[in-house]
Amino acid sequence: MIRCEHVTKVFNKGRANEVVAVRDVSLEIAEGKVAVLRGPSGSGKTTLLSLIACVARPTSGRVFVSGKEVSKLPENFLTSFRREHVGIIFQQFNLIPELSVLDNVTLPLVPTPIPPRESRKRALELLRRLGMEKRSSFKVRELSGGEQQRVAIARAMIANPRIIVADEPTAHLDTKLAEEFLDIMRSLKQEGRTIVIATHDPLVYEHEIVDVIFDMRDGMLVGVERR
Amino acid sequence: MSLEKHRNLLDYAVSFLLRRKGKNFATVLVFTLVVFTLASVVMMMGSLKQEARETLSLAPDITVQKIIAGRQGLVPLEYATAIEEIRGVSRVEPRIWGYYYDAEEDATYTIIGVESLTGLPFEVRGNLSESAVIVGEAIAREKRLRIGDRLILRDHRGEYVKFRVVGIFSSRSALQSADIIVMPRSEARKFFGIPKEYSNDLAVYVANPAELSNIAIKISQKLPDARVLTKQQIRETYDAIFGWRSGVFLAAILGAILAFAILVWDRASGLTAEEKKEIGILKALGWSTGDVLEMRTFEGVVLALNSYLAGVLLAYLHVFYLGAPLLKPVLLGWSTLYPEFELMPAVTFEDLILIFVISVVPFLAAIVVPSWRASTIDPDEAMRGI
Ligand SMILES: Nc1ncnc2c1ncn2[C@@H]1O[C@H](COP(=O)(O)OP(=O)(O)OP(=O)(O)O)[C@@H](O)[C@H]1O
Ligand SMILES: [Mg+2]
Repeated sequence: MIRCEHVTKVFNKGRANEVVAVRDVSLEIAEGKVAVLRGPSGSGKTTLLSLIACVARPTSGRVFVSGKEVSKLPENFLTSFRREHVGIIFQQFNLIPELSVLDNVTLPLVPTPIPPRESRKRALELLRRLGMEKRSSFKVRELSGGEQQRVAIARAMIANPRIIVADEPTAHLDTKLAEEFLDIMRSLKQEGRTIVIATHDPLVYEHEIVDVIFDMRDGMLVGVERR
Repeated sequence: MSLEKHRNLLDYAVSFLLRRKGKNFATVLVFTLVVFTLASVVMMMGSLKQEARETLSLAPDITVQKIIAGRQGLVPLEYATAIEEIRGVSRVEPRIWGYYYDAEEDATYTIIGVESLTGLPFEVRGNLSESAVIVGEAIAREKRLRIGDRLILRDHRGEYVKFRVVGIFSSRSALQSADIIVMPRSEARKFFGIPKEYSNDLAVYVANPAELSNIAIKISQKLPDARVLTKQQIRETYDAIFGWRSGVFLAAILGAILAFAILVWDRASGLTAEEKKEIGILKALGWSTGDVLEMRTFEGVVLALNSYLAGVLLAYLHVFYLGAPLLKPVLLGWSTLYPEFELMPAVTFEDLILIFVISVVPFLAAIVVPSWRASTIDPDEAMRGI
């Protein structure tokens, strides 16, 4: 379960370029549900997603993830919490081009005691599931956009997190690949994982797997649509 | 804290380095060059120091000369008798030696008379008759002498004297033996025309080293016109010339300059936007600031150790196999004094530590400090393509 209570995020506080990216947002996403953050560019989707994914801390308000108040956790706990509980699929995929597909996928497990053989085994299983096992030794830059996204999904899944967040996951994909992405999300949902997607792509928010849509404007939550 | 985690980070650092050979090649090259220069200086200094130590170990405890009109003159043998009477003196040896100018080769040799050619730490072969000599390697090379060959020299009256070469000094201590001719003392006396009751100087040996300076003072008091040189004084002279301290000082200055150059170079190339982005991604994926820093430090250590080993190895080859051709012209004036001087391999553990400290440590700082700043990048930067 994810819960935000009066969450506000201010960038460059007290300076001339101060931006209130998220303003007093309260919301709740039940476990195993698929939620969409919807809104125009600059409305604060990515910022709110960062707060939910535990990569940033709110300026004020409280964020609870899987029963823990993460907005209160000190940095080092937040880091390991994030690794174990949240998988992130970035807007630009954020793969490391010099590394092979396999090494990109195992990246989150490097600073853990899990032996390389075990992480590689897990990565190969995920890649097989995503139809990418033949690409495992490829360099990332040798892959197509759709393939890169699958690598990004596999990487988000490697620590077996209960929560997946994805920022504009279909922005670089054509319709067919976007459908495939949603199919993968469906199977993750079937495993009981909670999924949060920031998007303004109708293909995503109109999809049948979506349970709830949060509409954002200027950092504020302006509407909730439950299905 | 688990060891596995650190091993994973190290593995990752190494595999990442291997994947970015191009970029790291330049770093390794520059750093290897720095270590090479430093190590060459330190090794050369170490070798000179070793050479001086060996020379010194052969020197007598006290050398007594007689000064006549401000210059070195012949020492009467009564002086030896007088010194022998001093308590604590174990042995006094009147020495016969001198310089010999070889017009043919335009070179100056040192001729030394010894009691017996057999007691020396050199292999001798052939008939040890009156006219037998042992020559230094440099002379043998210049004059193309082999054991058994004849050597003709002109004595103090200008008359030709025939000698037979029975041995050649190895260059274990080149500074010592390269241009030396050793012959029986009686022959040397005849050759230089030194009267029976005189010698060039006296080598005095002392039973107890602690009494050395006391005995030296007693000799000066007893023989006011004698110049008394102790081993200690010679050592100080050597130290001033090839001094360890001056060597370290030089090396440290060179090190500082080169480390600075590296820093500037590193700053100029800096952390690229890609590297920063990469750090942001790692942090968003659950790497802590400490994990990132540890990985970067491993990268630095691996690079530094490789460069260090390569630099030290190259310096060893440069100094001891090639004779430090790149440094000789820069360092000291001795190369003109001893153009044939061969550097003996003499690398101590301390030398290696010294090179390590003044090269690897600043290098690591240059790698780790910028990364340390970058590793504090907020992970949410990765959410927006920086
Ligand atoms: N690190 C930051 N420093 C300053 N301002 C920021 C920062 N991150 C976001 N902002 C600002 O906060 C606001 C919300 O940004 P955010 O990226 O959350 O919007 P978004 O809804 O994801 O937009 P888009 O659809 O274009 O991705 C924007 O005005 C943005 O300029
Ligand atoms: Mg965004």
